Amino acid sequence: MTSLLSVRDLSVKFSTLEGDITAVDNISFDVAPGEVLGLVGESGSGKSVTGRSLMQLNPHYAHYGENSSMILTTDEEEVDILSLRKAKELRKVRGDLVSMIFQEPIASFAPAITIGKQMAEQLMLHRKMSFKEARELSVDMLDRVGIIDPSRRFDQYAFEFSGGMRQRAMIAMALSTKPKLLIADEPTTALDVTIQAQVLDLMQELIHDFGMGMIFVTHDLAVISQIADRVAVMQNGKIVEQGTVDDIILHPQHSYTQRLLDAVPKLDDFINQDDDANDTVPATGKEPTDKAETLISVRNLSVQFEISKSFLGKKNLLTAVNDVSIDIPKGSFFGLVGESGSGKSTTGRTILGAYNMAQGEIIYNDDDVHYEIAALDRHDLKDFRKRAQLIFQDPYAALSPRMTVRDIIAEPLEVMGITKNRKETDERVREIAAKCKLNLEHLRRFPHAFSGGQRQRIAIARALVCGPKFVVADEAVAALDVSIQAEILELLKSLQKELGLTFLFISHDLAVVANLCDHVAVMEKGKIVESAPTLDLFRNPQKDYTKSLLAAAPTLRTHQA
Amino acid sequence: MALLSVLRGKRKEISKEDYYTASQMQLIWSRFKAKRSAMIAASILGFIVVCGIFSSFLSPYAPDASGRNADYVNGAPQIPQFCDANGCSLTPFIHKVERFRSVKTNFRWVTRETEERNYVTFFPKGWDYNFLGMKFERHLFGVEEGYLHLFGTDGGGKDIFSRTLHAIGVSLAVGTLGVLISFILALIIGSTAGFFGGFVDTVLQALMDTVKTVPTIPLFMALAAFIPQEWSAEMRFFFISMLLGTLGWGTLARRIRTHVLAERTAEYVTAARLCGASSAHVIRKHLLPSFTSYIIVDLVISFPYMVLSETALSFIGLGLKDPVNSLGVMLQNVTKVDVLLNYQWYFIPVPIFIAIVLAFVFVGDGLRDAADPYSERK
Repeated sequence: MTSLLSVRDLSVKFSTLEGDITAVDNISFDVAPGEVLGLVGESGSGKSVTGRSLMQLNPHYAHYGENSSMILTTDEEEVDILSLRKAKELRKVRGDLVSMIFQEPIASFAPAITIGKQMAEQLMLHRKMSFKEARELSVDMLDRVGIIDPSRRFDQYAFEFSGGMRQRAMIAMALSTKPKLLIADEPTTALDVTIQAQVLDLMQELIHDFGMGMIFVTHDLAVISQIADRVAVMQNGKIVEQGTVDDIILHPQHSYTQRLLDAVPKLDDFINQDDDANDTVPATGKEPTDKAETLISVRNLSVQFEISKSFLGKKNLLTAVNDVSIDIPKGSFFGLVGESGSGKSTTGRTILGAYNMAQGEIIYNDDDVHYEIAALDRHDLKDFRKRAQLIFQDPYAALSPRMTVRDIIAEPLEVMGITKNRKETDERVREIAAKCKLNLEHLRRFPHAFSGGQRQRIAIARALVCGPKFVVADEAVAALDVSIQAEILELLKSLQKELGLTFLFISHDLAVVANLCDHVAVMEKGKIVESAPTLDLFRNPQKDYTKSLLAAAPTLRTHQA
Repeated sequence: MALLSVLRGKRKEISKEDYYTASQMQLIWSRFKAKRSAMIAASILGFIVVCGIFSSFLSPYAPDASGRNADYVNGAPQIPQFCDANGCSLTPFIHKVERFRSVKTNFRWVTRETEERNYVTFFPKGWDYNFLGMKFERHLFGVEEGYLHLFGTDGGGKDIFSRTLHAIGVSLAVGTLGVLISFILALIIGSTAGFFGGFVDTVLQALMDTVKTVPTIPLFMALAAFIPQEWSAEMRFFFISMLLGTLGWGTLARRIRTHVLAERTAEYVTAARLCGASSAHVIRKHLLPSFTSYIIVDLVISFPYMVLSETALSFIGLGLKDPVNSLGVMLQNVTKVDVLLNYQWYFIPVPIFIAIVLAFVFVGDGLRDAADPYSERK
């Protein structure tokens, strides 16, 4: 088969104040019509830059290598994408021959123009249609991607669509001009798993119907294993390995690919593990938790937020958490899973006293103390803060860029007045930093010197430096690459064992939770749907919602398709 | 291009570790240095500021009536030269001037150059001045006998060169005082509004808007009418500075409010709060450092507006008045038709004024780009 797109020796360099950065280094690949090429790699591997190069969407300080060529071959013509300079010529490629779907559907639509107008505009521009024709075709496309009542939806704005619907509309828009090649840059990463599964099915179906080629850029190997025909694995701007999806997933040759695949948490393996292994709960090796004491006990918790206040002072309330009761056993990993907006983060933060509760009670019960969180006085609150800490999702936002690592880790000690003098503080900081496997030489550095995984270690060190018993990890590994994610999970496990911590592990990722937690609670729309020991929950989910979550979770294929 | 690559090459020698342990200010400085327009503007600005500070030492004559040259009224600039019809000399000189009248001049006094040389001298003793509380009488340059007017003289015989140097000093001082007053007001009001939010924020924002909507020209005119005629130059000077300061804080306060509002909800602030940090700790350790760089930028950018306002005020005759030297007063002097036709050297302070304002703008621009070293590279 002749290839639709043929990329040869593509190099992309960025000139910055700190010198040239090679983002893409001499890569070559082909995409055939009707084929899905998965471009997979960790952050900074150059996969997005590659996708953007195909439409020349890189910023002006990007330079392409001299020998680079990108040839797009269709029945009628042959286009050398890199030779296009003028905006008019580029429009031939952008939106006409090649379309692109971005990660954030909310950011891809102009907020003040109706979805329909935006869809019709490109048809009028590229296909020279009248608005009426464009409208008809757009409504057809919206219908095709499964949007109900498309002719009414056509006149709505992006904010009136939910996240999944927006991404569907984006797909409809990208496909309406019938491009030869579709570039999808992490199109499902921002979506919840159930929506993600639907969108992936839809894309696969449409690609086959339209007979176009697709480049699917993602960091998620599980997703790739389900949608791609061929896979190219990128590392540091190079393609280290490419081949059919079965070859790559089942028989990886390159050590980097093997490492990536090993790092992916596997739900299937967990559910199908031998019953021998079942005797001990995998994560902590603790006894099943029915005998263990309860550290945190949440009873009938409700949390409400004021969304708006009417002119007469009538409050419009949103109930984020509704009648939630959980018991977190001492010394365990307690998983709280749910989709975005399910109230899991709010629950976690309310337990730490960050939000006021509308109803219910939260009891912290340790050997020596017994606290009711809502009724803590100043002195007890201070003591409770030493015992309960939070690890954030985004290791970039959670560290002050203006403080050295040493100062960041030392801050809780200084604020709470735990240590008497600088020497003692330094000792504590070095001790915990060593436990979190940070290089002690690096304590003088500022956070901008570190990668995401390193930053998360710093954040963990800060949370643990005051010697807490209870830690809420709010999506603590969600922003990290898989290989780093595996390292951080390992670290959390070893710290849990060493320091006897109790974790409330909040996550949307079922595979991570399955491999880490002893007990899992599933939340939906502010309520606990189901709560059970991990293995029971994953093997015999009782509720429909849990079943649908499990079915939708992307899993890495471990067998021939 | 070659220069740029040399620059880059030099920057690469900085070791990775230095970069990793560099504080915010060091990062800002290294990014600022890389911007050539800003560096050039900064050196020009530095030069002008130094001129303003050492104006008394640099100017050969007193900028007021005591330094006037009665024999050279409305005189053209005198450029020191090395050669004339009688040969060359190593020391620069000017020709002496004399006043005479005769039948030829219709019995009016006229100044003319003579053949006699008047050599330039360095570090001569001249008029007394105070600097840092001490009395000095040395100046950078002068001439052996009589006067040297690099920029010419005005209608009173005062040296325009000396007046311009002093005007720079005065205008920058008014600007500094004005910026300082508005900065303190803006910092207090803006950060209070941003930090506490809610009702406090609403009230303070209303106040900011009120101050910003006050029409300045009528207000100035009304106030000018209030200024008693017997006020000394210093009194007027402080009054103008205070006025500019108390009117100019609105914009800056709003910017500070926005910074505080954005940083207040940052996750690292939440992290500190969950450790039990007090408001004072959060403000001192997190909020203030997070916007110092922006404040510096805002101050530098608002500086030329202060200088401009002072100039505009003085220009329309509401601010400082003639015996005082400020750039506005100097500019006011060029408004006469006579000046345009006969005494064009009155215009010399104008390009200097433009240079000051532009230099501030470029430096502010460079600082703004460098201010957030943690943002994505542009």
